[in-house]
Amino acid sequence: MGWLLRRYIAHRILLLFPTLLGITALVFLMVHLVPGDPAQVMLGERASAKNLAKLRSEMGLDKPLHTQFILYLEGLIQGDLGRSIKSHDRVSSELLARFPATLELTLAAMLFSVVLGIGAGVLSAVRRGTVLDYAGMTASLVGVSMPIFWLGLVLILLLTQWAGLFPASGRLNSHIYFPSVTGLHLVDSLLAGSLTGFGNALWHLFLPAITLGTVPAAVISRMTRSSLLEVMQEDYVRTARAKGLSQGPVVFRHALKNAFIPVLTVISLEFGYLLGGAVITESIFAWPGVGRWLVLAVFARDFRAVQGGVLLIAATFVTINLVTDLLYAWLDPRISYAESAE
Amino acid sequence: MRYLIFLVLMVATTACTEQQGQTLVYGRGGDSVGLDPALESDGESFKVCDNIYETLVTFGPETTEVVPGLALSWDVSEDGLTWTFRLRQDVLFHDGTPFDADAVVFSLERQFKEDHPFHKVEGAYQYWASMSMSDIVSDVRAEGPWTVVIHLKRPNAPFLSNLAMNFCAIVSPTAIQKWKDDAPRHPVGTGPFQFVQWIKDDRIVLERNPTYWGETPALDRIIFRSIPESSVRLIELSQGSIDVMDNLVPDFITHIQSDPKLKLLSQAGMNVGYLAMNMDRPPFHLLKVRRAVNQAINKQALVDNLYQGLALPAVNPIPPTLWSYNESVEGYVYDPDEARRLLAEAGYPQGFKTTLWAMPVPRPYMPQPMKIAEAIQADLKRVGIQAEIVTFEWGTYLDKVQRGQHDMALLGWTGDNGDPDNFLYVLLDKNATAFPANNIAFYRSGPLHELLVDAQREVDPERRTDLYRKAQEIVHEDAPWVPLVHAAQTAALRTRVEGFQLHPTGSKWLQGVRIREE
Repeated sequence: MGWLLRRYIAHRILLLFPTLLGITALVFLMVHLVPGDPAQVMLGERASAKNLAKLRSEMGLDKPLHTQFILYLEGLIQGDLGRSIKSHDRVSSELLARFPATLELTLAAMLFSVVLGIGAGVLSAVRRGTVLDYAGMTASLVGVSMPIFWLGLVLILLLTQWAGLFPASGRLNSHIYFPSVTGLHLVDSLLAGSLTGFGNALWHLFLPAITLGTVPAAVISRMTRSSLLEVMQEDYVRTARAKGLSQGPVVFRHALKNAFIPVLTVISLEFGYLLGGAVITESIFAWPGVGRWLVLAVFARDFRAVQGGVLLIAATFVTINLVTDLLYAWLDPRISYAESAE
Repeated sequence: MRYLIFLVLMVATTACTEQQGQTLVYGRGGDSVGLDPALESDGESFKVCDNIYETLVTFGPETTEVVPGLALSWDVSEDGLTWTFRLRQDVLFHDGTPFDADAVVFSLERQFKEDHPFHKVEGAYQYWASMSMSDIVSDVRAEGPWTVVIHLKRPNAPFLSNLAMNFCAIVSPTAIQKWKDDAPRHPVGTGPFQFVQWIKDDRIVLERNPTYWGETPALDRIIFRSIPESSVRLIELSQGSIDVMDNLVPDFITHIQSDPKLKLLSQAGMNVGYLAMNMDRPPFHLLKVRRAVNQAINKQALVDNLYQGLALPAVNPIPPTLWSYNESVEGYVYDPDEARRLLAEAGYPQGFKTTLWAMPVPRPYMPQPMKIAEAIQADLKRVGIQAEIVTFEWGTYLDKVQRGQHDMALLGWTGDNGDPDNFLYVLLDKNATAFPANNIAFYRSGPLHELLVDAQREVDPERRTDLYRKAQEIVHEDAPWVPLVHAAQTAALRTRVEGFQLHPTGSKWLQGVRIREE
């Protein structure tokens, strides 16, 4: 089992490269084949023939497409994503400056959605057919149907504008300062020993995390409920009950662990949703992350920034999928990697 | 969970009460791109640069007239080719480098001298190119430490206004040499505020320059925050967590006016949104047709319905905030009957079919181009003109109209240097009809060209004013455009903020701002 698993992991990691290459090619084609010349868009009303030609050659747009792609790949292998056309800063340092913010937001939203989703799902399954179940499932239906954009603004309106409980936007109050080490404010504030900073960062994190986490929470709760209900019909659950175990241990020790595999799949897929949803959430809450930066890059036809940003998000998503697959094995020893590795 | 909420609320309440003296938090829609004034081309970058850097000459309050800045005085030679500037001698850059003639030469030369060590940088000196400075300036020389002489290739009066623009701001040569390609992230100027910190997409922090040569600014600190969603920006303003926001959405106006803690500022912007009729294509070669179109369009309705009043109906191509604006020109009156009569006289009693091009994206001078196009389409239909609306992706749109592939097209312009030349010559001179044409009416008037070229050569402001007033009359007579609107620039602020002024150029100079106890 041990070496099989290791071989499987190596195999999956090797597979990452063609996947990422495919994504790179796709993104490259997408940004270069959309109509509209980036140089023209950048110069706008002020374009002159001379400026246009100069800018095109600076951006390498006068070279044939395949040469541009090969040049890009060459840079990529050396870890160079090029420079942003708009800011002229390195795309890698632009990403590095923003990724921690997105990561912090996504992880917080994930935490919120997993805790709420699994909790509500278990409760609904255990109290199946009661008012609690119906209420939970109605709430989750509302949750999946809610557009993030709308939810974010409503939360701001209710909890900031009217109740005055939370800040409307940003990551920190303007007078709070602590040195940035990881870029994750919750970690950095603790490293600096600033409890005020930690509280302030957490306070700012609340609304965006809830906004972003609501849809996944709803999906996770529905999946937990149905998966748990299915498992509860199994013989070993009946056996456990027959042994005289009470509801708690039956659900948590026996049923939930087995019901967890489809839930885990959903969670890992929802992570992709979170990374996508961060684009909107970051814009509403003025959260200085990768998503918002990417949107602006698309509008500005900053194709190097778009390529770098999409690649980073794709790589994150692919990595999460890999981790999920490995977690399956840990959760369910029956899953063998012998066949899949061949 | 209960404890967590309690903890959060407790920290929240303590965090809320802290408030530091003279800090101005400026909420805006986007972050700056970079902070090297010669390399940038976007308003959000200039807004910050305005407070860090200074120029040789600058604009007076509420006008686009040029007044002394880092230069105490200047004069021009008889032939208009040699400009001599005498500099202030009491100025230091934020990094301690003394400001002198060499710094001026460095700041300007790097933008056009190809062998200058800082000519080739990441990015491009876009504004230098787009203002055609290389066709104007022949060289920049220091004569002693406090005198700079600029030689021109040809006499060009608007050149002085160009020097007041951000791209001609004086940068610390030491800082550029130190930071090289990273200089746009480490700005060092002579202005009233110096750079402290930049968290991308979040905030830029400036603090008072303790060695500022001019009047000491009242603010200790300015924080420029990027808050992309405009309604969230408004909530932050009503909560008092930001002090100023600009570029308001018209829907906000009533809310702002009803809140006693907020005040609204608005001023005609330095822009024009227009409908150009392509005179290379029939029937727009006929003056009567162009006048008919002018009389068929109800501009006031556009302003009321699509700008919520935050615009002025345009009469001339230049906005009324510019010097030389000719208020004696009477605009074409909205009169569909008269329009029909003109069309009949021109030989189109039944009207005609044509196309009306509209931008796919909002522009500062036209936030809703498609809706404007629909309103104009309806107006034209009333006089018998069947206009089909055409649009393309923005880059393609510009390319096609600049090649003259349209019949009628919507477009606009935001002024750069506050000089009428920057509207009239750029947009309506016959020289501007070559690809990529800025004169998308393809209007070729000999008399106008003579006036505009004379005005470029003339140095005396009064005589230039006369020339431009005459030029506006000619454009009005020939009616190559329907000048539609001048969109207003707006800002909302807390009433505790004093001394905040809008400037016709859109610049945001904050040294005169102070915050009163609320």
